Amino acid sequence: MIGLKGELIEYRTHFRWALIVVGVAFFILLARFFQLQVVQGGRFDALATVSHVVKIRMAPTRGVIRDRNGEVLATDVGVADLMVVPRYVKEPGPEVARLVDLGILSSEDGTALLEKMEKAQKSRRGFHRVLARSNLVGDRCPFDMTRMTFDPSRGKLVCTKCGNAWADQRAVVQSHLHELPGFSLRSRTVRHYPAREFTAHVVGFVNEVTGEEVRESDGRLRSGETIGRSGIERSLDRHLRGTPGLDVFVRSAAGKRIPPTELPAPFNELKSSSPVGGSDVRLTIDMAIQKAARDAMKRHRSGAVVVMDVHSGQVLAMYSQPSFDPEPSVIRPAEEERIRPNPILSPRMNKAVTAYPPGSVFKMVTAIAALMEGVIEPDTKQECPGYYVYKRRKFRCHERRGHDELSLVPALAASCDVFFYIAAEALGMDKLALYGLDWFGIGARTGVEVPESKGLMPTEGWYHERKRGFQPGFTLNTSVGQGDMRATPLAIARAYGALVNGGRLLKPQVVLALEEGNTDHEIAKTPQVIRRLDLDETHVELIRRGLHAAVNTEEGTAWDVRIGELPFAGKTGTAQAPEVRKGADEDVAAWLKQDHAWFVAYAPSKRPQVVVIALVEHGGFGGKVAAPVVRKVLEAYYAEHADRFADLWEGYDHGPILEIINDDGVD
Amino acid sequence: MMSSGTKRIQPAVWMAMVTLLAIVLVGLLNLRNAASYASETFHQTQVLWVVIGLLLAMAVSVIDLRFFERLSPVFYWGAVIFLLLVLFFGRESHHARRWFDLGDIAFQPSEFAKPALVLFLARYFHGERSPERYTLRTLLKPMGYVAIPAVLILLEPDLGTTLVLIAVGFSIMFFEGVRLRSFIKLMGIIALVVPMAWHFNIIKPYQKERVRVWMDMATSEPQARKKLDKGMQPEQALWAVGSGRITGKGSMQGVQSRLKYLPEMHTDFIIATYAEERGFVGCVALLLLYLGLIVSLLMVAVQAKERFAVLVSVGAVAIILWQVVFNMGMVLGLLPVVGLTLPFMSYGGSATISAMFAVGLALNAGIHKGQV
Repeated sequence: MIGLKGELIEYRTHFRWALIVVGVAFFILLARFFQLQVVQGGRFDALATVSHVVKIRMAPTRGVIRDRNGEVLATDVGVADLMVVPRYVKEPGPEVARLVDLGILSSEDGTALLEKMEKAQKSRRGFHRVLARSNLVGDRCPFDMTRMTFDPSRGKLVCTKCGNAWADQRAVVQSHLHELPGFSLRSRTVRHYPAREFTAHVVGFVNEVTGEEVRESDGRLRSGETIGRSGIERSLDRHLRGTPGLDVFVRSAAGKRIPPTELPAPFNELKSSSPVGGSDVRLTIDMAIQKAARDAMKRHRSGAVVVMDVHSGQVLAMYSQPSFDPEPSVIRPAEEERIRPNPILSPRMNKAVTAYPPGSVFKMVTAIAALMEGVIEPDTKQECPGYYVYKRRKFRCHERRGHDELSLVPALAASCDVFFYIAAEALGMDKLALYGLDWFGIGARTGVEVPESKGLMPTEGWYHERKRGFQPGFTLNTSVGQGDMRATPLAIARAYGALVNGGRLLKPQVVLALEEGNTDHEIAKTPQVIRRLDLDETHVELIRRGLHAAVNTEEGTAWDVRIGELPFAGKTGTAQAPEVRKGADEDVAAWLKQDHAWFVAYAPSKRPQVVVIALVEHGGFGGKVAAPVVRKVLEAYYAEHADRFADLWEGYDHGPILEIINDDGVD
Repeated sequence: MMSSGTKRIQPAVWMAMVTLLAIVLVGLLNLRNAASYASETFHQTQVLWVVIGLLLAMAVSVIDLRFFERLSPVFYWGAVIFLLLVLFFGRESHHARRWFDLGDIAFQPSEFAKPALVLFLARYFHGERSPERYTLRTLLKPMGYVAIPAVLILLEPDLGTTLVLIAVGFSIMFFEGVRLRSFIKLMGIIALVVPMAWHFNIIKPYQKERVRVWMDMATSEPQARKKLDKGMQPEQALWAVGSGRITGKGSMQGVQSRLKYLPEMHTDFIIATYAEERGFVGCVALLLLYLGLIVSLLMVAVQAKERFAVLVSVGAVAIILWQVVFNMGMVLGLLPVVGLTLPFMSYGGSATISAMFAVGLALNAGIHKGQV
């Protein structure tokens, strides 16, 4: 034990050091306790009453969508749900029985709820609020969501639209809540579409955001919120949505809301914000015409109608058949299954902006191209034996018997294919595509505010990129709107609009105005000209004569649908498009083999105002099937705008037009 | 030669025993309240741990230290093996592997690494006593002995226990004597290593987050943060402590505790519940009790006549001291949050038994007067 004593002495100095370290450490702790508990104690005491800051997101109301005359097409309505916290329910049996007595729950629903509650009471989730019954009848009819009026004699609410009488369940529950501990009412809004299936495609619909969208939205979206899924609801979602408010308050440790004045900083600086409702949207759609369009399509399985003002590009009607009910099904009882279209017909698809082979309605473009390029002269005549042999292939005219020798105007009126085959042969594919795409915008998006497909205007290059390669015969097919060309009804309507409005290719517009608070952004006030076409008036006049003759002469393909008091012009189209769809039954399969029926018309023939197009998918012959649809829509338009036509009839009187036709040697 | 010393028990030993029992009592009462806030009954289990711990402390304090000296390599390397095993076979909880499941109870090897390290270091210095004060080079080997379990515990990860282990190791070394120059160099190395550990992500992101929260709390005027995020938990503990004010809210009157806003209420943050109920007065009393225990144990230590006994005692005291200081510093917002229990106050079997074992070792020096 060498140096034991020395060691101990050394340890004793170290012991002193150790005491100092211990003393300093404890002094620091003591000082900190003093600082926290004595110096700042009062402040912490105040803070300790604060349990937590509560932030409740307050949903804004979504903007209202109206038609051009102010008719509501989409709006938020409040509904009430009956909620229950199972653990707060004192006597589940009697309470549920009371709800059944009150007519709020059916006895089956009551039994189911009782079972659910008993299960929940035993689990940890018993404190979670669960749905006892959704959509209590409030002041709106559960069938059609129209506001009901109270009928004192019956003691019930009566729907002005459907005539059903209802008890105000929301009021009933409200007045009995005191005897239903654990139950509560939850208010929420649902999107209501008074126009239902009439405008389902243009207006679109909303549904709940997906988890993925919530994650990708950077906090902009919360689960449980809705988002526009199609149509205007989707494309203008940003404007319609509005800005959520934030109710910020401090909850005390006892669970109460503490008034800001009683709070220490920084809690007294917490600010709440009110939700800002979304902008209202006014559409260019005219419900009267829209209804006529739906009505006219009623007989047909599938198709679309577009009505566009030729001068402004405003879309007055856009209907796609079959339609669907955009409203969430919870509102309608199960027996009310009026709208449950065959899914094979793609009811959700907006066919007005979906591309199809256009058939002969494209001949207008071929005609312009041929005239502009000097391939044909106004008086160039062709013999049509019912077919045209090109490179040892026989290209048929739709009229198997053939036509007499005819010039451009009667060729358009009678829709002679051979005439256009010969013109196209001289033109070539790329010249055709130049006029189709670069002039008339066929195969390009129109820029309308609803999601649309692009269509296709093939070129030689396009074919070379494909396996098949290019064959000159394709040009002939394309000239009559067959082959690989695809165009949307809207794009064709716009092309015809450009033909008759002085050569302005417009952007079709569905949105008339965005109304934010008191300011009106009249989006569609001025027509938006995409391109000015360098059309030769004499060429246009020729084509217009042909299109007029198509409706107003016996040789015309649409002679059957002429309207005596409203001379209009149009072009039929019958596009071969046999299809096979999965899940189609025999009936549908046979239907799918038929041709697409097209008819595009502008009215009146002189100084046109409006262009109407109808596509009846696999409808058959354009003049027989699609033209009557257009006629009905035109009649509706005329009924509404007769005053605007008044001055047009002066000196018009059918005579001059027939003269023009006669001048061209038809008949 | 020392036999006479074993007969009479020094006053310091008595004082240590009394303060220890007082702290244990306060701790159990406090745990009872904490348990009732949480509607649980873990304080009853804790009584069992305390009893086992006290019996163990008594046993350890009377066993001949030579036994421990001889077995210290076994303890040390055994602890290292367990620390290795727990990394692979331990139960994962809260992103860490610290426990072995033994039926209903869990066993935390890092708790037992602390006394094992103390014994092993004491043995090392006992055998390798250099006449000069230690330099960095001569301290390399003992620092390695500290580093092995420290690194293993850091890998679990358990930053709190790692820090205590390092602090205990250095306490023993400094008590042995380190040159001032070497001391300064050592501090310089630490000043270099910590930012590097930070930079190369040896310190986990969640640990960094805690440091940031702490810096936020420390640099700004203590106040409620507007965001109610993770940073709120340590702040809630501060509110609880501060709101106790001078005399405290009284037994079972803790608002923060009752609402269970306190994180780790019955383990790492137990002092918050105590401070809220007992106030500054109670906290000073508790501090004095801890101070009494530590000082009396230190006095016991230096009275030992043998180097091994002195160093074991000092190391054992260091375990208690640094746990108390680090734990309270963390709850009071002076240090970043690291997982660490408060000896005799926090709930936990391994922690209680390990702390009692340390006290037993420290007392052993006084009872046996350090014969080896």
